[in-house]
Amino acid sequence: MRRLGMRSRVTTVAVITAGIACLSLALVRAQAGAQGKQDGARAATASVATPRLADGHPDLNGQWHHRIGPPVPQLKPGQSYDAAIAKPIGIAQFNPGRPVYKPEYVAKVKDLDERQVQVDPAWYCQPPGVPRVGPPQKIVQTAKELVFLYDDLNGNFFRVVRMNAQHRTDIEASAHGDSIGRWEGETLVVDVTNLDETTWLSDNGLFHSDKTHVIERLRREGDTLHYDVTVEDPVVFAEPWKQRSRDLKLMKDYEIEEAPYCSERDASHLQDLSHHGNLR
Amino acid sequence: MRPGRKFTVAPGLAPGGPLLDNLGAYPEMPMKTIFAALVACFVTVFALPAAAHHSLTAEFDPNSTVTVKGVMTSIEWINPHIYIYFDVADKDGKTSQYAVETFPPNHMRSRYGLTKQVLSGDFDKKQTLVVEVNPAKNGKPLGWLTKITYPDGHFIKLTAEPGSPEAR
Repeated sequence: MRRLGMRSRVTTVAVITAGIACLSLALVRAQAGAQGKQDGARAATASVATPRLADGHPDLNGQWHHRIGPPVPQLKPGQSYDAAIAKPIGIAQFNPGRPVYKPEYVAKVKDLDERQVQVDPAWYCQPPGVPRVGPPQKIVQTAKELVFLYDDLNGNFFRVVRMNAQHRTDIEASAHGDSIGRWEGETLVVDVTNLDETTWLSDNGLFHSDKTHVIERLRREGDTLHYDVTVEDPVVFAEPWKQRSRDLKLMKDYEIEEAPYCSERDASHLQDLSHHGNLR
Repeated sequence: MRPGRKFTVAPGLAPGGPLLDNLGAYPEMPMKTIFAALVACFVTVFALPAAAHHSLTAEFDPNSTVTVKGVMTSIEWINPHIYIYFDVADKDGKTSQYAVETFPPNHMRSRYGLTKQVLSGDFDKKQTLVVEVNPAKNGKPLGWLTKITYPDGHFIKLTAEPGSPEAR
């Protein structure tokens, strides 16, 4: 066995230390990143019991968020702040994945994707629509209905989920559609139709038709809300699109607020089509 | 690494184990390979998924930093981007407006803990602040905020450049 020289040993120790540090960080990140579930892999089961309403169904009331870790402390006047040191990771980004389009629509998606900075409606303060608006940030629940509330970059949005009801036929199609709900055991299933075609389903040119049908599944487990979305579009999709699963945490220290108004002022300054995506 | 997957540490690599002696038994493993693996590990751990509201690199030059000195006149706490306005004097003393753009309000609060009040500093004193920005590519008096330094020396540094993970 060759003996390592002093210098090699120091280097070796440094390398091993760095390796252990990296692996440890990977582990911490993996534990913290419960939001980024893929392929149905789920976080450890709840450590607290799932609360219920008087009717016996799970209580989904509350503020739900995909934030990682504790709330970021508010900076005090006169206090210096350096993002490079603080390394804020308070908001988890979510990539829902991509649907499979029929071959005749692939070129259109590519074209919209390339021109996203010019044509993505969400970049011009338009409503994100369902499902792009994401999981509800706050839920108000009664036996008859649930209200989903959103504080979005593009404004405050709400959806009323009517329980055990039929879809309305007397209203115009809209960005967030018409939502009805039912309980399947522990899971709240929300069925969304009447979606107009003005929105994108997500980033990267994911347009859709006015025949889009969205099914959301919400299941509370302790203080975690599992949120799954399936999008059907018989006009443009080759197959239903099951988005990646999301796990949201109950936020007891945070309250949804009014969104400042949205005013798009960047478009006139754009010099090229570069962008970094808008995954939501 | 996907969350939820079991993470195991190989026997012999556990901290406190006979690390150095074991390593000596693998003299053929080139240090380059180890370094490459480490780099790969760090890249994997720290790579963040891309996300942004707007096309910052289409609008601002991430490779250029401009320092602007001026008096803050107002903050528009709006979506999708906050605007901070400064009166900037040229060498002849003539002032003109310079607009500084930064993250959306809920991003500022939940990610950085920054409020409009904190950003304002001693607004009423109309002091001259030093602001570093990535300038607009079209030459307009507009930039993306990277650092703002107040007269007492305290500062708020948000990001190195548009397009970096922190600017998303």
